[in-house]
Amino acid sequence: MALTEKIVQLKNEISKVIVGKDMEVELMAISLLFNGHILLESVPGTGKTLLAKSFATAIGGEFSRIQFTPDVLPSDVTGIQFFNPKVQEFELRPGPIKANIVLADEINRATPRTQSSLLEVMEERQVTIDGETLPLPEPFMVIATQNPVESQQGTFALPVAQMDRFFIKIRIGYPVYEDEKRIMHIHRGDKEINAIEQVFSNEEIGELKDSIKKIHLSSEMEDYVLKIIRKTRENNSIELGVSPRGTLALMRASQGKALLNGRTFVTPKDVKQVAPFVLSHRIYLSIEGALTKTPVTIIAEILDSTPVPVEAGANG
Amino acid sequence: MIWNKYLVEERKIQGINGAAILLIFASLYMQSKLVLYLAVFFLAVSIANQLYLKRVGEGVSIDNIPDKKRLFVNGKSEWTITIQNGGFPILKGELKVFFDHFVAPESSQIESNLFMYEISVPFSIYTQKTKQIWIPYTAKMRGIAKIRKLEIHIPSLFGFGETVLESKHFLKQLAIVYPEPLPVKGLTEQMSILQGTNAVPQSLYEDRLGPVGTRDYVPTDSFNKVHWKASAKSQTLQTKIYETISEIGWNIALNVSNGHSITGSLEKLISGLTEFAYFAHKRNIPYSLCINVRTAGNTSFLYLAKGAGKEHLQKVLETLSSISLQNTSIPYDQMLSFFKNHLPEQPFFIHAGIRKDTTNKLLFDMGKRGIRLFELFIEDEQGVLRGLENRNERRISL
Repeated sequence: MALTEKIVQLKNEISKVIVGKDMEVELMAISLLFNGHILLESVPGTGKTLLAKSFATAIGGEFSRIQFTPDVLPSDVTGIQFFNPKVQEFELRPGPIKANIVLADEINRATPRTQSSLLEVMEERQVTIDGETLPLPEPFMVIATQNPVESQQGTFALPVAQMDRFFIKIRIGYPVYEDEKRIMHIHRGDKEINAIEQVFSNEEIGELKDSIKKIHLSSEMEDYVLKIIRKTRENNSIELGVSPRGTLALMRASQGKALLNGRTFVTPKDVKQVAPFVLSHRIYLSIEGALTKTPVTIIAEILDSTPVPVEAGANG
Repeated sequence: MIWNKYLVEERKIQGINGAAILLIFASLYMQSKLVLYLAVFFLAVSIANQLYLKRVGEGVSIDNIPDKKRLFVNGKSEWTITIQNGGFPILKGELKVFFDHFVAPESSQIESNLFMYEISVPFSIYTQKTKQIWIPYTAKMRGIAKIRKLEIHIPSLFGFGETVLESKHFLKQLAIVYPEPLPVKGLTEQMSILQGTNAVPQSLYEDRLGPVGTRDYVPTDSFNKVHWKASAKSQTLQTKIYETISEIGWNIALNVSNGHSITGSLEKLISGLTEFAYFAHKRNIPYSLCINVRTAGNTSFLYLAKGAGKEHLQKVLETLSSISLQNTSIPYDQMLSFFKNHLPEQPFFIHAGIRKDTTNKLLFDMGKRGIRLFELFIEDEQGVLRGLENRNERRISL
């Protein structure tokens, strides 16, 4: 089955329980192609956790969930070494992090120390427990959720280093009128998440990852991506611009978008469509910037002011 | 969109009607078709004019999308007004926008009148079309500017009279102009002696729930501080290292009233508190803010719970921007007693504004519970922060 058909099937499966989230599902599929981690941010009750669980079910693999609270310790995430008196030796017991899809629910409720325990896991795809390092399974993806409203009450903002490790940040807004009506219809019955069927096998995900390497990024497009990144580092409202890891993420996400659109080359439109999701959480605003603008509006301004390479896709 | 509609008719049109009737009689008397056609033309113009004035404006709407612009003084932005026309075409129309004087239009010719600016923009729009009009402005002073009224003046296509559409509702566009900080003498970070949960460089207290590391055991270490697992692994006794913690945070209270009116030094006090907000943000000090302005919420005054970070700073500055001379205040002592009995206290309390003897009693009661009191006052056009002491308190000397 072709990739586009698979993506349609993925959207259909998820739409059994979640309505009107096609763009979000597409972005999550792009992240999957690069083993990228996803941060879902929204006000309560908009379906973050359900979307994450549905996505995990649809792509199969081992799934685990960590419900973050202020008393969750780093060892509750990574695992522990405990002394087994029977064999008189320390034994390793990996935590819930050892799974293909890890749902880090309400991640900003954990203390910064616990949040930091995910740093190595997310970047190196390995976990170190009391000096012993274990590789994590393939594919490995962290889907974290957070609620931006209660940022003052019992929550801890994610550190910049951790935000940078998220490939994509998706803001799930309120559904539009028609979608909300459909949600009401769907939830009259007892639609269970179990109704979602697995769409991708591990082998298929591997094949998709191979096919993404064939997506061409022309020299003009490379310049375009770099100009956008450079502007984030020179903007007066931004204190910390996008890191080189962010540059790679933008390039990859654009390639993923091109692949999902059935093309073998990246166009400026691909870059523009994914840039707000890839870049907005990687910039750290200055006080003046944060008081007057949002990261999304700044990225939109940068995209509007960056000249688009003409016929770059055709050249490629 | 709901409009109030007014028709402004010109007297000329009555003259035209009269002339048309006279011409009809004249055409009958003169048996002249030409005169009759002229009369019919005059009548047709009059009827079309009336019809246009009556019907124009039906189907005119303005997109009322919520939009909040946040600006510093001298910051620039614009009002965006999108007009949709589903009715008769409008030629040489005029859009009049009335907005608060906290932001001023770019044109230097326009002057504010009764705390409002009025600006006129000519426009034309055909049937089933959309037109966007931008009105640039510059932030002039602290406050929240709104578009208070919109008027659309539509002249008749035939030149006789006009129709005026007046908006019944506010537009959901806001321009929040942040207050400017005023330097405050004596503003320094204070160390608390209260136990709390915030990690600080020095404190008497430790967070026993979360060891941050280990070090070699020394004989003076308490036995319950030994890290047994680390000791077993390294085969030497290891002591847990804990983070030092303390309670940090401010309560800031502003008294906006002076008797039955709003204090004359409101702007200066707000600017002083703005300096506090920036200072606390830079040092990551959490703080709460209460202002004795009446609200309809759970607390009867403006209250922002303890918080830190950019979002809190934004909320604080927006709250300070929203205070105006038109606000209704509640007695400051009433606010303080509610605060004392129901809201969480911080190790430091900063009072700003007028202080009466009854206020002193409430404040010094708080002081007896270990809260350190400070007062912000304005002296020589700058803020001064000083400690509040109860001079009447009896001290026992040993």
